[in-house]
Amino acid sequence: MSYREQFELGVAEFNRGEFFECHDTFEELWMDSRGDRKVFLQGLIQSAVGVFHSMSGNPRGAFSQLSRGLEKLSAYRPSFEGVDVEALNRGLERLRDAVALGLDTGDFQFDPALVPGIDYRPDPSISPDSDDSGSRGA
Amino acid sequence: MAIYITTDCINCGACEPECPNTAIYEGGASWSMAGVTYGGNDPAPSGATGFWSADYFYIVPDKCTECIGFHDEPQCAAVCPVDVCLPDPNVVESKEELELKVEYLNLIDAERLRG
Repeated sequence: MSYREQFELGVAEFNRGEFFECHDTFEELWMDSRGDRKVFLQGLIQSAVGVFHSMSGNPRGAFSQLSRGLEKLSAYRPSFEGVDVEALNRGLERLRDAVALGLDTGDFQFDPALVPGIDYRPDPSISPDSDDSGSRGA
Repeated sequence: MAIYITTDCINCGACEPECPNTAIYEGGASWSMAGVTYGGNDPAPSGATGFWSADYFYIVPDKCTECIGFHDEPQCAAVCPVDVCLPDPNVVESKEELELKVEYLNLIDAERLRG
């Protein structure tokens, strides 16, 4: 499977709500990546894990991972390698803020409507297996 | 200092096979050292407590040498995609202490080594 095919699989898993599977898929890519792409993938992984924890009744883990994922992804706004990072981050921030509120009140209730999706539109002019030469924030 | 796993852990298990000292265990599992098996409420030989977890992978501090003697950096942290393997502030050990720990573990528990 090419990098792009596996990345597309990870995006599909994220958008289907399969966050554990998504983190596994992106993790394989993360292990073999370097530079900006590696940090970007880790931001996606931590975001997926954060959503997973929010669904699994672990709001502390959710807040921690969502915050760390957002911190990494923020450097890749507005988009990176076909991913609308701006939109994704807005969604993740809403979920993170809801988790934070739940932690403050001691009454976190997971709301599926707050789970963001990834808007991914790969550039057809770029080879699916191009190296991680994407520039941050492009 | 030893490494510990936070409750952010997603239980992917990437860390467990990487530990050269077999110090990492799945949540809820018993652990062993020098031929003795320990359960969730049992303190480690050093007296350490609070490291066992029923829900997440955990690291036995008595067996963690931060990979000194094996690798340049803790391998659990290196392979963790969500950075939940962190230095344990409750178990602060110098490089010299960790090197002595490796020697001690080699004496009492050579079977812990992988491969």
